[in-house]
Amino acid sequence: MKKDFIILAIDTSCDDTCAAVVRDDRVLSNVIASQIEFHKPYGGVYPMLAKRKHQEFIEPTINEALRRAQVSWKEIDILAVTIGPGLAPALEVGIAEIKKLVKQYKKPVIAVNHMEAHLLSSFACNSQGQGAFSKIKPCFPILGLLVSGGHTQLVLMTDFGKYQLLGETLDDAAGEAFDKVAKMLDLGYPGGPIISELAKKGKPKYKLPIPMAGSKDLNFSFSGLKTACLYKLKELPKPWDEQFYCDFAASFEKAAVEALMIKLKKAIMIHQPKQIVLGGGVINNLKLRKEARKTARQFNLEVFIPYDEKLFTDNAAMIGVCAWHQAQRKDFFKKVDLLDRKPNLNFN
Amino acid sequence: MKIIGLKKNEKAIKVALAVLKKGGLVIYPTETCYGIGGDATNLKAIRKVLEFKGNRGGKPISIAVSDKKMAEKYVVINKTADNLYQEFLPGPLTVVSKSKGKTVRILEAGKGSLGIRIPEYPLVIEIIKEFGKPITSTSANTSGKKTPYCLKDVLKYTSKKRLELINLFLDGGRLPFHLPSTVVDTTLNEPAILRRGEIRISKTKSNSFISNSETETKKIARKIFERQKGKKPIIFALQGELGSGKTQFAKGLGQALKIKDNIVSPTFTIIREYPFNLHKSGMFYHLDTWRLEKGEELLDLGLENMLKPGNIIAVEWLQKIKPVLEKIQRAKKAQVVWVDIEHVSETRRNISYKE
Repeated sequence: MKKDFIILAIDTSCDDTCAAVVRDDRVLSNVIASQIEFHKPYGGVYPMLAKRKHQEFIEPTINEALRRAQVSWKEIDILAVTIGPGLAPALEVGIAEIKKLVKQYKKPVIAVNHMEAHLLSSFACNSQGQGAFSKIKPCFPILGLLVSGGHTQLVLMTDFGKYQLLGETLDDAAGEAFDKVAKMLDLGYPGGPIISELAKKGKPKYKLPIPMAGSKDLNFSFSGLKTACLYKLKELPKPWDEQFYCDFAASFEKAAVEALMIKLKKAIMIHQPKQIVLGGGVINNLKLRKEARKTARQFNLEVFIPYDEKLFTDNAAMIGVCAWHQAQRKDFFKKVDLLDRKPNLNFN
Repeated sequence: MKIIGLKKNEKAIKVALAVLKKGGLVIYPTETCYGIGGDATNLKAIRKVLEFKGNRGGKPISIAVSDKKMAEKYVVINKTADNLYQEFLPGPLTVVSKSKGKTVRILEAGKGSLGIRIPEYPLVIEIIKEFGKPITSTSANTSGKKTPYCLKDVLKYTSKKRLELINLFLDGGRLPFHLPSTVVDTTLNEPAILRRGEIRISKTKSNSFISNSETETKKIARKIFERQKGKKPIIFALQGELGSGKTQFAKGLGQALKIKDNIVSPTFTIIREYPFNLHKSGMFYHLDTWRLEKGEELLDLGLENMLKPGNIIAVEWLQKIKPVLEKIQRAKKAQVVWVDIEHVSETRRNISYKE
């Protein structure tokens, strides 16, 4: 096994144009287009969405990733790209770019599942080799809870490359529920982080149903909680003062986190994992992390999260780390012409 | 008379089948009241049913089938009847059609028509399906006596001699009170209501429905989908507040298209696509403009390319994209079904549509 694989990874699965360079599982650079200021002609207002935006940003983002990692095209060993799940027209941009780069530089390609990358984001290390797993070895099976704007999944990992989807949301993702409840409270978009912020100063005094608490499987559902919030808010007389917003946010957060914890606990009891990893943008929420640790502690388990917050939300460094693990099991994509987006890609 | 509680379903089915095969009678629960069932093709069994019912002035007796396919073997289902089957069955409605004469003649009305019912009671449907033939569907009381909603009702108001005709009582406990089924004669030009129950039939097809649950919202979506004809791609433009059930409606469309994948909210990814294979293969696109600043961005994301014959599109958060869809409709590039989902209460929705 060759050491020191240098991988250029790109991800255009949804809103953000992302590029990163990793050396094995060490992140050398991790660029997210919306978070940097490009010099003109790319400056100015960052458009919210659209395929054109990815097309416009992909190359400067890649160049920035190479520049920050201080590697040249010659040093790159592998190209990695997200093929799904995600928004089909957006995924297409990344795939088209990879095909172009392969023609130009003749490098092997690895096709990456965006959710597998979230699952493996805790295995990423910084450029010095420090990461969540740098002192403790991974011990399988590992249970992953992935919570983001588009996904809510429980995944069992028996080895790198061996995954079993245990449960997922049947309707809205947890992150989406955060955003939609924020909208009901007129907090703007994306409201998830605002809810989390307000909840810190509030008391969960409003009773809301815990979705799917009684269901036997490991699936989630958040649309019922969303509707319950809507009706609760209709009952509560306006004007709402600042404390009200905080209390309501805390009440919602409590119900949402509890729904996640009930299924996490159930999954631990059924599948007896040795470690737990968290991934996805919603793990920015401190209450979620705290409760996950508390749940894990009941079973003497440790919870691992990525070493850097930039690895929580969509990013390309996790794509690179995932690709490195795929490279070790020789999971290369040979016929690059046939590389195609898989918007519904899932585990199993 | 043997009594079996419905907690032991498998046993109940086995015993009921044995009784029916021997030409015996079974009292069974339905979504209205308890009914009395005997093999509708066995004269001996039907004579016993008539003896149990007593003098009823030559009134016909309806039969219960497991599904429309079974009904088609025994009656001629015309367009009017077909619409009623689609809309209301299984459920508390008896549809009268022209008999094919394959059941015992005394069940029919004078002019050779026969009432068909599909009870909304899964166990009973299963028994009939297993049995492979229709059974009688008439309330389990002697004519003129109280309509029975529990075992006690039957025992109290039926003579001992008549009770001896019954071989098996499938005890589903006390049934919630519902009126007997609505009976509609479809053999005439206009459907004629012969008995009014809880289902109200209006002459014109209603474009408005009430949903009391997520399951019902899905059912209504399937119904609206099945009413669509034509070869053009169909766009379901879904209007409705947060939490009104737009994604549930899309799940219903997915069921109608026999898509096995779980259909989830497209809010985050904007577009979700699901291949399906109904009569021909096609693609179901589930779109959501909630996170878009302008609806037109959907054009940038390939909306026009989705408009291929056979494809089905559902769009949530219609407001932002309405002008675009109207333009598509005017250009006849697709058939647009405008669906409006309104909150009535926390669990109740009013769903209406126009084409």
